[in-house]
Amino acid sequence: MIKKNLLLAEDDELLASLLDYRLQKGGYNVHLAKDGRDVKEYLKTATPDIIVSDIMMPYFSGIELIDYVRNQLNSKIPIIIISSAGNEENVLSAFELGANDFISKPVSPSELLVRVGRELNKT
Amino acid sequence: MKPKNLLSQLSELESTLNNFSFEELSADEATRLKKSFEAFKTHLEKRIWGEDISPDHDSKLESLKEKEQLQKAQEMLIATVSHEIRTPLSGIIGFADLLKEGELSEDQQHKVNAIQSASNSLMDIINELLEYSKLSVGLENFEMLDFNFFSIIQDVVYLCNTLMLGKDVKLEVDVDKNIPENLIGDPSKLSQILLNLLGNSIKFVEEGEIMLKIKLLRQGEEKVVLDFIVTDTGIGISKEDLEHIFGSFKQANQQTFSKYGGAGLGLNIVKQIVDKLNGDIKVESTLGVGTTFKFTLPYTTGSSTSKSKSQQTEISSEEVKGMRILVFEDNELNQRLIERRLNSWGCKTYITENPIYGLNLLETDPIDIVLMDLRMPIMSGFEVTEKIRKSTKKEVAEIPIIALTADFTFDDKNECEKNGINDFILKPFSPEELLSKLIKNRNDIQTNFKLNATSDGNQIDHTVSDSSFDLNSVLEDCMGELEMLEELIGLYKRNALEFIGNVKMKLQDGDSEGVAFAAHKIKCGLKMMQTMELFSIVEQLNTTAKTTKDKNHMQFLLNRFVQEYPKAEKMIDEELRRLKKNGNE
Repeated sequence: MIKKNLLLAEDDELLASLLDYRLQKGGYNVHLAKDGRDVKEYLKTATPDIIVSDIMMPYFSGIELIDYVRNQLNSKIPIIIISSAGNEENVLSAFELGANDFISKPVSPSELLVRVGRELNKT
Repeated sequence: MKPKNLLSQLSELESTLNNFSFEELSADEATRLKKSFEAFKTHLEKRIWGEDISPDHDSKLESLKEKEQLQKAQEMLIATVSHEIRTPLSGIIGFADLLKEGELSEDQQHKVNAIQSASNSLMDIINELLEYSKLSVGLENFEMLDFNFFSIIQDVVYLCNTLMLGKDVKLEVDVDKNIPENLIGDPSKLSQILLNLLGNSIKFVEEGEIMLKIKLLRQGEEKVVLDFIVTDTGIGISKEDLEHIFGSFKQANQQTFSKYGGAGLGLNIVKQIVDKLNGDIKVESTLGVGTTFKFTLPYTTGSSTSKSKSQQTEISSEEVKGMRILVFEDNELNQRLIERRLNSWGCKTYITENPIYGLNLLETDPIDIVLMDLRMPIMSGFEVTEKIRKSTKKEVAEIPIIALTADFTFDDKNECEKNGINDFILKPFSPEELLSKLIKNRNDIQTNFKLNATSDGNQIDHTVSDSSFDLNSVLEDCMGELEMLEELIGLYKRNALEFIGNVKMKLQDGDSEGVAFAAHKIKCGLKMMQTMELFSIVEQLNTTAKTTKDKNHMQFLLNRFVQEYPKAEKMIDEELRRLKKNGNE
């Protein structure tokens, strides 16, 4: 079985480390990006099967990322947004722009795995 | 010699320090400071070790009386010198603390740490000396108080557990349940004996066990005799050393001293106290196996009224629950004791020996009452009080302040009223006294503050020693992998230190955006590891950096983070240790 590629864009080191660990254990090839620049670089050459991104990141917010992927790259890659408390309007914008799902902090790795699996099963 | 030489060296050190501005700190100056300090320490050691002034000394003096007189004179000298040394030494310790708060390079930090470590050891030696001489010259007071025996033992055990952190040592406690709860005697002397013996055991046991066993030997109508046994699996004591172990100024050998520190007076002090309390102390030991100290002490049973007193404590401690108390206290032991006491009543306790932190804290956080040690190294309690009374905020200027003082003369009482101190407690004080003073002096207007929720809308339990802290949920997220959890903890610590350095720099550059960025980045991790106090501080920092951009406030919040971080780190390390232990069982 081919492993699915997952792009994880998260600037919080602790959370990123934990999610990276769990997602890899969950059977995914994880590429970890620390900020929007990393993400852009990565997307120039690679096409992940799914993107999990924090809604607030340096240089390139999660919102901008969705816009980029949907409108610039014209891609339908499933995108799951990680939001934090007080970011409700952004979550709505994210959905409007084309995000598929969201999960709020504190992120339960188990829950994230379920959501990722669900999105991938749809395609 | 030459107490003169010693004292002149000391005043040279003192004047060096007085001319010292930590802003102009250079590595050279720090080195020079340390060097003079080392010289001073060596001198003092020579003074103590160089001359054998123990009573076993085979002197050329003719009569016993002359011998005794000489001993008394020497002991008075020790008492005086120790006392004189303590003040400038407190100054050195205080200044080393201040240096640490400044901007130092890593190398300079090391140097300052060395100064601190040396001064603290020296302070320990001096305190032992002082204690010893006070006892010998009969200046020591022995109280006759009604006290709760079990809670004294609990306090001692708690302290020992703190001393054992990071050591592979287990402490077992077995206290006879038939011992009456309330006794009449001197609880602080009892604590002192136990802490001395247990402290020694902890010092000399690398790994193994220490056991404290307390039995009820005899019980009469109103009297009891208690039997105490302190056993350890430590390095043990040789037959020759056992003979002199309770003598003064004797330590097993010079090597022991250089490894373990101390003036070698501890056991002599213990014996003097036990003797004065009409008790009896013995020791047995085998080299390489362990040591056992046994002592008995007689007590009179406390009256039944004292029982209802402790019941009263249970009831009225409800009245101080949730009170936010700021304590200015420089002695570490006292800090821990008072913190534990206040927290056990459900108070939120802030303790600092640094008056600037305390003053800043008063301006930004709601505090209900202040406990103020009058004698502190950097600024006296009176000076701090003066500054508080000058505050522009009404609730700060009018905050109730209770002075904590060891020796209280009529003059001090006037000083209190003059300087705007509301009340005072004499040290040593009982918990009941502290409780009743808190209740008496609290300002009902202030208690409204405690009803405010914290900024993120959650009611967070703020007790410093938070027993509900556990990382099981994080461990679960790591699928039970302790190694992964450890990795996360390592990341957490690195992030925290980076954060501190980062924000320091950004504040210097006036980069509020940078501060907000750093704060946002670390926030999540702090919450994940359940260090909520730090999380709350960083959240405030984030908000301030985005809104008012008040540099002073941000600096203050950073300082608070620096202050609170070691506690959080300790909590996490302990929890990790606990989880590891559970994993091995």
